[in-house]
Amino acid sequence: MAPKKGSGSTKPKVASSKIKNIKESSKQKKNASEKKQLRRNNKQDDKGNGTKGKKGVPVPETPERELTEEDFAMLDENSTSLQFLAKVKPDELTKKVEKGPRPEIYDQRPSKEDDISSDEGFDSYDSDEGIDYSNDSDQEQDYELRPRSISSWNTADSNRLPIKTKEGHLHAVKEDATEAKEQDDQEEIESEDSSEEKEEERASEDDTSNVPSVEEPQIPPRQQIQLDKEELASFAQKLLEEPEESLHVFKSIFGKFQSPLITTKKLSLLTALAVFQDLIPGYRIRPLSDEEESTKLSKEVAQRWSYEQTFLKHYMRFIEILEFIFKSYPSLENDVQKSLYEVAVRCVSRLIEHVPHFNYHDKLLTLAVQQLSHKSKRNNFDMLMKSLGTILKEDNLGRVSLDCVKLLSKMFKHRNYDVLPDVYDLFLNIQILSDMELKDSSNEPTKLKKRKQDRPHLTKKARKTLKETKEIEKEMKEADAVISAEDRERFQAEVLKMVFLTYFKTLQARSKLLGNALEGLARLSRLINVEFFGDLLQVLRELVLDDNMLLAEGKPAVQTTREALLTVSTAFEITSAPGVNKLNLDLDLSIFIQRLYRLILPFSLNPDADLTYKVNRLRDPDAPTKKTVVNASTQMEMILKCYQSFFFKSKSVSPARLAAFSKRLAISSLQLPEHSTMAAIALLTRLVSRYTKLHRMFTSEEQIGDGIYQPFVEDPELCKSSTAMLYETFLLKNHYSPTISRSANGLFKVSTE
Amino acid sequence: MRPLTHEETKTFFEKLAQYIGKNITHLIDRPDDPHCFRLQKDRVYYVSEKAMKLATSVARTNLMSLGICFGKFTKSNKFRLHITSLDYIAQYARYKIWVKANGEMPFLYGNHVLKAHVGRITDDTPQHQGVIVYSMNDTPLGFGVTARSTVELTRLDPTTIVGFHQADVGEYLRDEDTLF
Repeated sequence: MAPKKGSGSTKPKVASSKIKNIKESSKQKKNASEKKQLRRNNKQDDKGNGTKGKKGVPVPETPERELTEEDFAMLDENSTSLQFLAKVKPDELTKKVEKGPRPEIYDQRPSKEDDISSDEGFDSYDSDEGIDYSNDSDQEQDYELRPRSISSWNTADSNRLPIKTKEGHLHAVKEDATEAKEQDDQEEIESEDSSEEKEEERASEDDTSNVPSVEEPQIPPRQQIQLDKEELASFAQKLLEEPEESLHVFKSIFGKFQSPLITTKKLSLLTALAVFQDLIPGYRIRPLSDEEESTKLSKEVAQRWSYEQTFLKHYMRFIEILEFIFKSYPSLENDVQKSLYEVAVRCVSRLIEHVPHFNYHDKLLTLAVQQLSHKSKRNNFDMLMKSLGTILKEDNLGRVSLDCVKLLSKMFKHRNYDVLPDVYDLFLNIQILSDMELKDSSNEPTKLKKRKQDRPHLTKKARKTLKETKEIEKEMKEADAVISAEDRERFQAEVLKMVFLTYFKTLQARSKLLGNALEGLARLSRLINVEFFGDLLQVLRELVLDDNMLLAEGKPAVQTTREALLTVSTAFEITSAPGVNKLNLDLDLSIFIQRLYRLILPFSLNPDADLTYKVNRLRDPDAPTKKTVVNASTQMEMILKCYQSFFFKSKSVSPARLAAFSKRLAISSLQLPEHSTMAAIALLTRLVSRYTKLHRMFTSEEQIGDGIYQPFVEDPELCKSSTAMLYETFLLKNHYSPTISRSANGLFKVSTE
Repeated sequence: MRPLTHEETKTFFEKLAQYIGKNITHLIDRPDDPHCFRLQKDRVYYVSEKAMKLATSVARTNLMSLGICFGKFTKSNKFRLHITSLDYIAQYARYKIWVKANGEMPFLYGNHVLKAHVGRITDDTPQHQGVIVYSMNDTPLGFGVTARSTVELTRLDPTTIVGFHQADVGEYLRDEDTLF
């Protein structure tokens, strides 16, 4: 209790009066009511700020009272112990205590040798001289944060039980640090590599000395491979004999994959592939729903289900391994490692081909498509291509085709349509669209919804039973697994949509694969919906116009002759497609006609105009060997097709155009190789027999027309073709090939009839 | 007779370009027989240079016409294309409409072209584009302006107007007096 003073005066008081005060204070302690007053005084002091020194503790105000005799008696009794009171200065007592500077020792970290773990360790902090306690925050000090380390706690280095020696003493077995590490490592290894674990444990037990790395005893690789082969063979046999019992054998096969020898890895993959090919059931394993898992099952069914689920898990693991190999392809250096890649590719392609109905087929397809998406052909590229082609061709229902097409389209889009042309041509293999017909939606009778009154009246029970029977029927249908026509049509529609979208986007992107896209489009031209048709024509027109502009400026066209031909022929095919007739409109494709007209002369100078595998012509030894694409049409064939659709299929042809094109065809027939010349003459004969106006082009007696024929004007209307003469027939009569001269004669005869 | 001034040439070519586009160069730059345009009494004539040189020797009051009359400038300096230019613009036409047999006569009487009469039309014809009207035998019948583009055409019903009539060969009989 601080001595109370009425005012903040610092007048020194006589000791006796002090003592007097103290006596008073000691008495007051017992007085509860006085206490309350103290508290009140305290509060008043706080508010009034009366007795507070500058840095002082607020002093409670208490009224002074006289010292009684009892007080004196107490003082006399304890005089020796109360001597200090003489030295006490009341002001100092109220003064706020300043802490000294923080002792350094607080901030020192305990070194390892300092075993502070002993209980009396903190005595060293008792020397308080010159200590600054200014940091009296409530935060934890550093010394509090240091962990306690008690040496006795660290004695249990080894998990081993103590050993009794011969003499009967117990002592703890100390393990080596390395062996402890090994144990940790072992725990981190995946459970799949159980075989490897066993090997390591065995090795560690053998090693009594501290060898940091565990090595198997050196077996020569050949022997090792032999051993592995035998082991794998035994695994495979076990699996095939009793699949239900021996699913864990898969783990050992995958364990073999972890071996450092590449041959072993390959062997393990191939074993797994063979086993899977045999073991995969003919149905798709459905993942179990929760409620099915919880219901009580008969033993057989439960066994079957658990077998299926574990089988699926192993299959998944296999696929993951393959994925891992694919991902690590960029880091493979030499051919030996790449052969592992080849094996993986083979596995994937086989699985795709043989088990398209099974689970994870889409995952396999994703992997395959990823491998095809690279700019350069990787090993075993052909195998993948073949397998994908096969599944597309053999697909009857369409689901597999749809998955495949979806993935391929996505990949093309991702690569901005800059893929290998072989991959792009995979679309040509799609068989499911071959028998599809364009559905005319307007021809279908519109189903009027039955009015409410017309619906048959069913009671609630009847409705419920009807619903249930419908559901059961649905399930039964599924079990039948008959390819319903509706599903097939649905898949066809989806596939068609995706394929068209891809082609369209390729055209818009002006990628290098324009030709392939156009060819694909030409094949599917009869299926194009009328709405697409306008946009498609627009894109084709733009393609032609760009080239026209370049040609007009004298620059070479961007498109090759083949691509331009494809553009024009596609445009013609589209407009002559059956669905377009609905428009009742005959479109005059003047731009495309112009382009075709422009094409003919440069095309005629191409010696490969009709190069197919059928032509018996010696190959040019200097030319780079090009792979002959069997199903692509030659340029001559395309020109014939264009002429066909333009002159024979459309209803009316302007005579100027007719004459112009015939003249150009005749000119080109003098330059083309043999087969093409044959074809050109045949075409001319047909034209002349169909259009009698052309007869006057063979005789120069009737003179009609204005001006001279301009052979180099690139517009069929402006070249004044009405004055042209087809003298080429005379020249062709003297052709070296007898068939050609005979047909030229025939043409001449027709024209003079 | 005088050659066209710059503004007159501009107006005239703009009008022509509506029908034949960039083929105007073919009209002027003929290698075999160069032609030119001359103005006489507000009418534009397309005449070969030889004939033009001969015509300079005829007095202005006595000169009736020369070459082919393409059209005339109105009082407000707008150019109006006449049917007499049909042969030349039909040769170089960019956009064409072919009219079926049942539609020929109505057009020749001065009516507009209906969708029911359209036999064929050039692809991608825009709206309000100058077109030449042909019969199915490719004989030019006249010219006009499209009312609808080809794309829209598919959705229209048969009685809508597809092309506005501007001139037809029947005018040779109807407007015999005023034509020259």
